[in-house]
Amino acid sequence: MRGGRWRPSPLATVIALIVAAATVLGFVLTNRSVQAQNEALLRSDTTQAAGYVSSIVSGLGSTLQALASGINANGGSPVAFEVQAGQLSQGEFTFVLARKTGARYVVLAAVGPGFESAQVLGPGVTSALDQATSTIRPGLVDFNGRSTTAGLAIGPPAVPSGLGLYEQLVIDPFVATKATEAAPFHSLMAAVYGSRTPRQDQLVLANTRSLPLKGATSEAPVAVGSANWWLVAAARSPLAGGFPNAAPYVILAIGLSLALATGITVEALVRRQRYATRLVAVRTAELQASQDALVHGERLSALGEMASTIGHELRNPLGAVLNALFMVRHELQDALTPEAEHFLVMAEEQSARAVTISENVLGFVRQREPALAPLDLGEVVDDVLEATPTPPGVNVTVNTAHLEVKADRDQLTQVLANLVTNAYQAMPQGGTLTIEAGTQDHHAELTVADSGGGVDPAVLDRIFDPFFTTKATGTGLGLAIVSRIVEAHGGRVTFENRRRGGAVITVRLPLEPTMGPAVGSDQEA
Amino acid sequence: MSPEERPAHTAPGRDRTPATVLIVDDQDEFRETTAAILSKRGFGVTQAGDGVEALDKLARDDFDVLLLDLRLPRMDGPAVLEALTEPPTVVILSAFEYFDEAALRERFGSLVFECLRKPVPPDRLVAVVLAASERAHGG
Repeated sequence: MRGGRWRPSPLATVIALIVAAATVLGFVLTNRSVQAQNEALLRSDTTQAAGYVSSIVSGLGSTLQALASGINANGGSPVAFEVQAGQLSQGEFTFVLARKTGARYVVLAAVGPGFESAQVLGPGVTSALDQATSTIRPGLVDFNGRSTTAGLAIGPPAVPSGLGLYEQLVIDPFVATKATEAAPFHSLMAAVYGSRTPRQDQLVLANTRSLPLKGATSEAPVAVGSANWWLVAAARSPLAGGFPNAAPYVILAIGLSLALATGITVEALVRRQRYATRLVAVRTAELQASQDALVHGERLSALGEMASTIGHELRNPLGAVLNALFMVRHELQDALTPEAEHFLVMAEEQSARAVTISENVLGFVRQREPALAPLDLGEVVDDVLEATPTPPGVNVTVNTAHLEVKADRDQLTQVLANLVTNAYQAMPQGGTLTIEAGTQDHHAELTVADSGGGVDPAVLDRIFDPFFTTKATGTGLGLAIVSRIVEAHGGRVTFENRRRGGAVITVRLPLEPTMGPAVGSDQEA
Repeated sequence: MSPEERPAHTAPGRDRTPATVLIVDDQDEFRETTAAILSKRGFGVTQAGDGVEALDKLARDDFDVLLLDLRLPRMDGPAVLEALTEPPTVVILSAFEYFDEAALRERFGSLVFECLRKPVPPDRLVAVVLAASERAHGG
């Protein structure tokens, strides 16, 4: 598996990220809206609940006011108070009539538990009575862990001056009452405190024991006469309802799934397109290569046919010319003037050269498969150098250790002869021919280097083509024959211009040859 | 007497009798110049321009050596060889590149003395024809 195969494309990543970002934004906005709605509903319910508690408490206050007006009518008589209060008290309520003496209040009469006549009232009740007017005033609130003691006070002018009326009730704050069973409480966890801050000892009422309340809470004043208790509430379950509260998460889940799906889809499309593009490129290259090969092959085949035809057609006239020259020399013999002799020799030499050219052309066309046999490469080099006269001014350096290869001796000889001849021709002013041989990667490597002018880089890729030549008198077959013979041996020939001038040709032959492509064979006449 | 010391135009064992050669080639200039060279060297030379003409002349006269081109009008070289009844020693001389010497020798056996590809240097041609004529006379 290639590295990076699972790395998504930038396009797929960007699209998935955009969808994901839009989803998250939608989630945030929706969630904020739902939470705002929850909070609004909680505030509304809290206010409603506080109002409800307030109305219940003011019912108690009106009882106190009715009692106060009776006291007023009876001139503050404790006996009349006791009679009237006795009718109202229902066990948990205690009514206390007190007179202010100095800074303290002393109980004149008490109906219900907790207070005795002549008792001096504590600071909490005292403070409430001091502040009480004809409007009721909340008194001491005290929760001892089991029950809450709370009270309401009313004072002059509802009662005669110097008197105070106090109503105290002792309740279990957690027992459901009319106040905490009303509709707004159903969806709330709520607690009523005597103080602004939800202190445990100030607890009046609650419909939950999980106090203090956690999470999002809302608070609302519970009007008790001229002062307030405070109701603190939290929602039992999201007030806006289950679905609206789930909606943002539904949006988030759907959106993220969509982002993932979109990303995957885009990725798939991108990969398919990439694959298609790559495939098209590969196929195009293949087509181009096969077309090139076809064109090259056709060109070679056309050249071969032409060479064959020309070679054959030249043979008869060349034969006639050779014969005719022979006859001229034979007929004239001693009668030849030096000038005639000079030109006759020229004609003979040039005809011989024409024969060589036609042999070369046909030699290229009739190339046969190599007949492989073990041979010493250095020996072939020596033979070729011996048979090819070294031009004046050329030094020859040979460095070929004993190196055995499997090759066709005649063909390898031709390869070397062509390379050596080329090298000599590249150094008309003299130079150095260096022939070296060695082994590398199971191949015999033979290099033939000259110190001539090298080859124009612009035509480097054509020098192995048949009939391509940079020489005025060449047939352009020398390197083509070299290349074909070496390839037929399963080898490879490369050409390089040397940096210090000149060219080097490298012939690589496999030490254990598998035959290269067949290059044609003799056919029956 | 070795062949080198003997006049070229006399066949061994038939002293003073020129060896005879039939040159069969459709290329007039080549045939003519070849005939001239061989005549100069003392061979009795006859020419034919195609296979049919060659068979005509072979039927009328005996030749020591048949110098035969392979590609000929009317009847080609191999067909001429097939039709021979009293075969002379044959030297194939062809410009045609693709003849298979081994196949020819297998088909016609010892009838084919030598195969040459045109153009052949005149000295070599003379030497081969001389050797062929010597074999024709059991030399």
